[in-house]
Amino acid sequence: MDVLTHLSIDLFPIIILLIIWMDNEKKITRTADKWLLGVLALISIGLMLVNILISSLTGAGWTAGPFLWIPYILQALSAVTMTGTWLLCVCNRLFTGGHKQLRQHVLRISSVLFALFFLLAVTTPWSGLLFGRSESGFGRGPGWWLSWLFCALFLAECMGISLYLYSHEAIRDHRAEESQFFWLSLGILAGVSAEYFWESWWFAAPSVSLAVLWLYLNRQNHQITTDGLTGLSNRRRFDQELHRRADQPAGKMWGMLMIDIDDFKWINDNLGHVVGDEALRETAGILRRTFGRERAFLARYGGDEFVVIDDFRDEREAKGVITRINREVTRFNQETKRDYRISLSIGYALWREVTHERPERLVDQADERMYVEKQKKKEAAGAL
Amino acid sequence: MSALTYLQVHLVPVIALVMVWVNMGKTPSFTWHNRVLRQTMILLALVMVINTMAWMMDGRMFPGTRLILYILNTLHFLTLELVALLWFFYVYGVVGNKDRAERGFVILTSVPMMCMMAVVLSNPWTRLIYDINEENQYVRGTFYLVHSGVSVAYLLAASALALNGCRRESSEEKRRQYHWLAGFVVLPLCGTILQILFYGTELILPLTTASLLLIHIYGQQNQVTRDSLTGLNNRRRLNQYLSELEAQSWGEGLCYFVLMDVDKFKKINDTYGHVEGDVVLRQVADQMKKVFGASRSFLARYGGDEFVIVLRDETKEQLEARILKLKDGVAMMSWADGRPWEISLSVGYASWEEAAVTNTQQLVETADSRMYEEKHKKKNRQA
Repeated sequence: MDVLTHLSIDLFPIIILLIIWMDNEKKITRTADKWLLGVLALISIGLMLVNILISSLTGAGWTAGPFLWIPYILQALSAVTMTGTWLLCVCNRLFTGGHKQLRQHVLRISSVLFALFFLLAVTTPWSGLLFGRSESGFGRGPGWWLSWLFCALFLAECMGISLYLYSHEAIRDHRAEESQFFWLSLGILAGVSAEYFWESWWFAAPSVSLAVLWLYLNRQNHQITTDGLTGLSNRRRFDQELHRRADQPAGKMWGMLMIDIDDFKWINDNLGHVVGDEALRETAGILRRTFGRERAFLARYGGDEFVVIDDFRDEREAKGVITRINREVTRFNQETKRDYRISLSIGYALWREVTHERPERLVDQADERMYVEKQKKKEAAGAL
Repeated sequence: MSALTYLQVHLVPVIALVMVWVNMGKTPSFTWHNRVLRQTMILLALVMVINTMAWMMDGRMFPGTRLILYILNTLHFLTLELVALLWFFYVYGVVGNKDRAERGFVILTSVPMMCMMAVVLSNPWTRLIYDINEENQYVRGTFYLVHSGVSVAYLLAASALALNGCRRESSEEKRRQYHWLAGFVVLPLCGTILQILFYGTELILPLTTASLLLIHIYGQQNQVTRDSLTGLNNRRRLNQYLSELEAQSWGEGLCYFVLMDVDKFKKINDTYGHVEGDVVLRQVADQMKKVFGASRSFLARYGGDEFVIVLRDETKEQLEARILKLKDGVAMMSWADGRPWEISLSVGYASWEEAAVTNTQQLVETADSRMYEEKHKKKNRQA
């Protein structure tokens, strides 16, 4: 395959990876995730450049010379390093998921594998295992499939880890993420296999570029729809969800809660913004604990207000949920020592109450009920 | 290049476009022009699929190949033209801030493209743009360049629209966005030139895809750092900006950190509802953009009803003048629109050079306490 063809195939993936890498570099917060993604992008670009280099060298007739070993060894190493870096990305999820033991095992095994392959690759000029020299130039050695094998082993580990995390994950949204990594790893395996088993199919690095693009798009999406402080969905995402539910076929029973932190202004003014932020985070935590594995949609509406969308059938169910939240609040106040106590005013609204009106009417309805409860509390406190 | 190579060249861009298309579907946009962008993407993917299919059939001698080749090539050129046209409408929508394209405008600007489409449809008989020879191979016709020229013309027209919009806009953020839109045509042009210079490459479509994805990714980045209600920078971007400034030790020259909030905002929200409260915040943000737009400033929504301005290279007197102008503008807001509420702002600011300030946290707190001083003064005055 000549250089121009190679260039046509690799130019797009290289540009995409460059764009993602440059954007990654701009981030102020350095997390392992972002750093790994950047490294992965660079190695993939490197593999494609090495491939193009080899194409141009063989195209120009350079089939002899000792230095020619170097690009070939680089090619083999880059492919395995690339899949190894992808494995590190997936491994990182074990770390954030709290499965430290398993992560240690995986890292140990993988390091041994990588060291083994490194030896095989670097000693190839003498062993002729991975590739060898003949009259017509460089060709595959008897052990050429070993490059594929090591890549496949790393990718198999990735898929195994994804399956493990999937089965252990309680929260629905996180499960979706794990299954994503499984399919992405499978896709990369397909790409790498195509490159090794079919002559003139250069798909290993491009398949990684697609996986990186998918992760990147998802991360951006997540940032756009998530509230930075609490980690819940943000107002924009809530508006979407509200309209999505409203557009569903009639007959579905659902509703929402409007939750407001009482005297939040007092906390902010008297204890400072930092404590105020903490109170917001704790409230988000309370809501998460209340709803656990359920499908409820939680969001920060803005300021000190939160919303919950869930499948309430009637007033009784809604009030039941409110009681559960308040129970969790009481538990929080008892178990944690803080300078403040959290108290929530919660109003509910059912979709069937406002079915033929604008979805925003649901918010107003919940808002009114919450306000009523707030007033009741103030009067009760005043009476005391 | 063999048929298989064309498949490989186009496979990754097509999958990438489908990925982005799916991703855009997750956060549906309510704006017309964003929907157009999404359609453009899936059409470009379609162009590449048809292109690959045409190359796979090229030179084959099965019965019916000739007909299939004519159909595929016709579809290819038609969809390609449609992509150029849609891109033009997308830029038109963004720059003009349109909710939808006016009918008359759509029809008028589509005329050249309609003519080209007619030429493509008549091509099997006129053979102007391309021909399928006896060996069922694709051959360029005499007017091939005219066709490409029209498509490129639409791209260049879009760039002209964007650059024109640049001149009319004062907001630096909008200008940057329009520069990006104008620059869309660069990669496809490079691809065209390279493909002409180096026969045997297929670069136009992949590079056009890359350009389109660049535009999308850049647009998404904007959304990550912008507050959707007011259009100002959001808290996340503010934190990033403050970190950057702190790393540079707040740069040389004067630098003021201004914190302000809307007095009695909660009352407005409770009395008139959330929708009205949103209007207040948006209008305050508009006033901020008007008063501080031309200066070297960073505007952000700090949260709820609080806003931040980081002003550089202006003196204390200049800052005070601007703050006064902002307060006046905000006071006029309620009068002008006949709205039932009265808006006033409480403002506090601090500069990095002050003795008590050694880190960003203290800067924020100093400005915060000064803002509350002003708030309390107002309350006392009323009482």
